[in-house]
Amino acid sequence: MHSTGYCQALEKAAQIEVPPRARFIRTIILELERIHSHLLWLGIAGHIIGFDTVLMQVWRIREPVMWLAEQITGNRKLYGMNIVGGVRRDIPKELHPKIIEVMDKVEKETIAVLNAVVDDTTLRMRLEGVGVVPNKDAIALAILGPSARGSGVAVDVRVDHPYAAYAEVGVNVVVETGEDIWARTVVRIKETLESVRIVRDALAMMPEGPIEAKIDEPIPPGLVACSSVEAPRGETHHFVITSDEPRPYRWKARAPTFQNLQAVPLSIMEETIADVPITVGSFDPCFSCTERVEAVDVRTGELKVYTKRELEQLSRAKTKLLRGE
Amino acid sequence: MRIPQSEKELTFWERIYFPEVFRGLAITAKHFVVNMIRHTLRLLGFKNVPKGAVTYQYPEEIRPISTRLRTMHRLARRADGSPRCVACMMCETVCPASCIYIVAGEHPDPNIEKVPIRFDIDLGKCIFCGYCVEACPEDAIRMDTGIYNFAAYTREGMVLTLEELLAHEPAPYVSVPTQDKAPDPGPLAKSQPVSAPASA
Repeated sequence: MHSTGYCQALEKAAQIEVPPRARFIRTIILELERIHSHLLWLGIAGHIIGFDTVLMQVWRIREPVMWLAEQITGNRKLYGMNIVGGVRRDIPKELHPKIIEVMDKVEKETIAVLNAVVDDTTLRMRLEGVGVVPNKDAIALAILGPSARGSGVAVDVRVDHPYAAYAEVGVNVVVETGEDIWARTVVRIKETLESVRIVRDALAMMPEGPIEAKIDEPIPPGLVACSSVEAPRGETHHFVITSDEPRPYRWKARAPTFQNLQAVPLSIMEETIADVPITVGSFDPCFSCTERVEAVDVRTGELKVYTKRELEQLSRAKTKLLRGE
Repeated sequence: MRIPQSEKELTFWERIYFPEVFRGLAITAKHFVVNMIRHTLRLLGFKNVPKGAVTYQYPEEIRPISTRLRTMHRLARRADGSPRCVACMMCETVCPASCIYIVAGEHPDPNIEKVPIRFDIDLGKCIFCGYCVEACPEDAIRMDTGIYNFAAYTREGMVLTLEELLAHEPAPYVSVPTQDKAPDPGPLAKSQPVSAPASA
């Protein structure tokens, strides 16, 4: 996903035409990544609130997607699929039935999860009305991706500024107006189903042809370009200035997590501390190992640092309390 | 704190409780019996029976890996056993993680310009992108050993030396012992580098 952003920026700068087949392959890989990322999030959300059945079942559904990625790209994660001007590996004809098979299975099981989750009172009790980001605040804070779409803001780079093969395949943006964690959850599950649809369509529409552009001359220095990619968490921007060396003079990537975290103070206001982990988690943040919270009691000025473990225990205890156990 | 909303209205069938309990038990029992029968049949040698549970009993049972999977590196050898690598430094240059260290030396054969004296790959740094395989003009470095479970107690232990790299053999991809497919003796791995550039 980041490599697509970087390659697209360079291609835009040097005006390299990417062959259609490469664009379709990029789309398929991006959507496979979205499927497994959303399923991963759903599992972790279940784990945070102490509903580990969701974690087990969803990660079981996710695993074939990883194996598929391994067969196409050679790695479960960190695909290394893109090069400037195209992609490195083709998706051979023999893999098409396999991809369709996995997609059918993922779709069937994700629908089963969706139905189970919708009927589950425990999940709804924990997630409905919690971590609310009102529509106008979502726009004002410019939050991105599924977090914004859960608050009724229909932002999606795939539609607003189509790249790869999204213009041909088309994307139905999933928007929920619930504004709470429940809405974000539903957006992610439905988006998984939409991604399955996109992979299928892209596979069917994929034209024959070369998978990389022929680049004869080195990319000239001093060219500037910016590109946007819809990552599973929101839009990612890559900015590149080329140089006369074989590396960029300047490169800046902006990932969506920082933007999304701006909505956290607002959404945890007036909530119990037990709701903080799932609220922060509902933005699908990627902040390596900063899972701790400082809580200040305003009456006494007392400071308490909650570790990840303590927070998790608080959160799980609340689920038990609500269920009356 | 938010008050939980009203729960779903239960039907009469659900409210008398016992039928639903037995339905749940029946689902669990079904999974158990089906898995047991399948596992037993497979143990008795019926290989075309579908697998029971989704779990792979790692490390006894190894999941069949894709032929494209990028695994631990190896250096291809010439007929006389010397490395095919000519120490051109292409892989060292292209490596985004800078995990390859090469020291070049003279080769006794005048037709071959250079040979690596040292060729270290720091697996602790390697990101398994496979660029080195693509960059190699001699097709000397490959990532098709099928070894992916490596660990060490020290950082130094993660460094692969020239001798280790040369000693690695390509994976017999299709003949993993407990795999569903029949073993297939194939020089497939030898003739095809894993992530060969699918050229236009």
